[in-house]
Amino acid sequence: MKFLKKFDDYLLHHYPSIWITRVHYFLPLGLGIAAFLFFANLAIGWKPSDDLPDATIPIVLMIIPVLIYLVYWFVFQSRYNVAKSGGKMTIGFEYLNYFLYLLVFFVAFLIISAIPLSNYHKVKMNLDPVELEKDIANLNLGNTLVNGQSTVIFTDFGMVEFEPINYVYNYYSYDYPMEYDYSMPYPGTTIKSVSRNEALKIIKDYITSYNKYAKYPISQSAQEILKDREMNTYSYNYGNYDEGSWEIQYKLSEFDERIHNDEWYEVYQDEIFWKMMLGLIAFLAMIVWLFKQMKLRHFVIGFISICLTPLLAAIVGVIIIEVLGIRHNEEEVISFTCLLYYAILTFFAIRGYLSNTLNNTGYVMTMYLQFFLPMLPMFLWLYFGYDRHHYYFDGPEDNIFNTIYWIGWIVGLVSILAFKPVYTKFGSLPAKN
Amino acid sequence: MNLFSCNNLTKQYRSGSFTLKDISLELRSGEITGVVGENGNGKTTLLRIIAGDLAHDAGKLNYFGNNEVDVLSWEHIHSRIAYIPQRIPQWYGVLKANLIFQAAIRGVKGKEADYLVDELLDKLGLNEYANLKWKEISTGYRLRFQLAKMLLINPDLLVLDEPIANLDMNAQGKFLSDLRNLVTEKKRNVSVILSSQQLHEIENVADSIVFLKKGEMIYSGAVSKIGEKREDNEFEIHTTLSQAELSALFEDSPITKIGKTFHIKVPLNVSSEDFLREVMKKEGKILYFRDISSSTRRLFND
Repeated sequence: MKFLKKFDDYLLHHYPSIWITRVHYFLPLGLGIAAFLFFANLAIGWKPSDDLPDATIPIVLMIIPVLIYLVYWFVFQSRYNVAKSGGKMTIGFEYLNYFLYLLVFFVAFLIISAIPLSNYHKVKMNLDPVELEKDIANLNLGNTLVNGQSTVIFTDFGMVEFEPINYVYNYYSYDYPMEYDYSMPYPGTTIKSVSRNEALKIIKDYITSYNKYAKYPISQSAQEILKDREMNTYSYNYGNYDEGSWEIQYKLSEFDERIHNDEWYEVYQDEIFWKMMLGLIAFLAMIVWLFKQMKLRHFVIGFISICLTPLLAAIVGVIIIEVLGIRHNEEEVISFTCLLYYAILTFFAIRGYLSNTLNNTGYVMTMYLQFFLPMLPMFLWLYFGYDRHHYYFDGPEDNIFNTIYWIGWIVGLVSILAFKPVYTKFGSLPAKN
Repeated sequence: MNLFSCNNLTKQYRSGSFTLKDISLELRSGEITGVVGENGNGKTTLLRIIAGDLAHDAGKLNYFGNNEVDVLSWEHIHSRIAYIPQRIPQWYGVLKANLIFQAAIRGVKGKEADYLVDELLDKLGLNEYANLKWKEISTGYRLRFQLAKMLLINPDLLVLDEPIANLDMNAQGKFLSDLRNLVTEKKRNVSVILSSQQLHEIENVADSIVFLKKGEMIYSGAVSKIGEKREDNEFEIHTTLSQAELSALFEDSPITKIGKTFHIKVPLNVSSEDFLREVMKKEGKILYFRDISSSTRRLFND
């Protein structure tokens, strides 16, 4: 604490524009919370027989604490302002502040993600891929014999014939053609013929493997199960077997897929997810930056306008598609409408900038224009370059997506440089009333 | 040097019929100008226009040595003006930290900031309150802290809207004497304009006065020249004599009663001494008396 206090004092005396961001308190606090949640959840532990940890509930539960964290931080942002206190910030510090805001939102995202990430991590830590593969093989092989998934024939020669049907759905391996006939057996399935002893071993292995992952283990012996199959007195009554079986099936299918694709952290390993998330964080940081540039009343009006934009977009979309009945080239019409909006916003912003008195409309429109400017490349492409018949989104490797995405980032960042003097001028103009 | 001047300044609000008309005045460095007038007569409007907070409709504004507004940017003008509105925005955190922040954003950093802030706190007698928070100090000290903050900007023009409205008499006196000391400081080249209802206090501290009535400038000039061209003397008196007794004493002199106080206009040859002597001769007890012949106070009665 003493060090933090000293550091706070140092920033106040030497870097007041960083001091007012309060990141020297909020970043360690946020990181501390995220680390605490991550490790505390890790310490709770997880066994393969436990349920697969849920990712959604911890995210929902953490939304309110994270909102409190962000609102509390934002309150500090409203307390001090260099420009409004008569000072000046170099463009370098403007960028630095913007990235600090971005960092705060990223830490908020980490707080939300701490428990899901920790859940994924503890599953990874507590599973041995080699053992898991072996267990899956045992379950797949014993599935028909234990659960009677297909006909089991006991021959006169003491042999047991059955068709092994996978217990674990390894979705990744089913590379079905578009017109796959699901009535056909899965590729690679063959009829197996084993001796009674071998059949008992298969069932024993099944039980051993199954019970590792089950809350309700199978209590019957291999002999009893095989006898059931032979007498055709099929029963699911192996303890609480059937209550939990489908859960184990789902759980192991998930594990199998994670091992196979090396995707232990699910969405967190998805490049598109990260790009979208960083884009969202960048927009949120931009909101804070705009808040610092503008007079409160104008910011609030601009912010409400931004929030209502999706509604406006939906109304325009409905008018274009439903009322005007344009269905063949709606992308072109919608993007043209958006470009028209950009032109109108630019007109109002320039008119306001050239005025000698504060033009409220121009001021708010400037904020609105800057906020949506990073999306302009997308609308330009939709209007000039998009070909609906030949364009298919190709995932993270998609060149067009990446180009538009990064141009959007550049436009957003350059807009700080370009719009800073505009806000300074607006902020200094005398009001009309 | 003229730090501000305006000619035929006019402002009409879009809503309402109030108009500020044909205001012409000059604000010079080293001087305090008081703006007086009843509520709703344009004092705040005038100050906001001078501070660059409100646009005017007609007339010319010149800042800092007769530079027209078109020549200087509003950004530049704002950087040299400190405006304290009627309602001072709340401060957060420790008061001294706010002042150091203010110094640091103006480029005075490190120990220099500490030195500058300490010097200012010392000068304004705020040392013992420096480590308190906004809610822990009285309105009077809040105003003085705000003044300290504004002084860190080192403004050329200090615009104060009703600064002493909520202060007790001692605090008013202390604040106004701070202002007087400030404008006489050699290293500063500042002009102060402030509005107030406290005529006596303002006339005591100001070098010149602007009196506004219904948006019009009734008087603008040196405090010492108020009433120079008057045609009669005017006194305020609270006495045990009745209005009839006073009328009998000063025949043909118009008397109006406001509350318990009489306002009497007497010929120029009747001095305040003569007036008091006559009242005392009639064994009237004098509870309050003020000669407003050379005060803007009389303009309120016209």
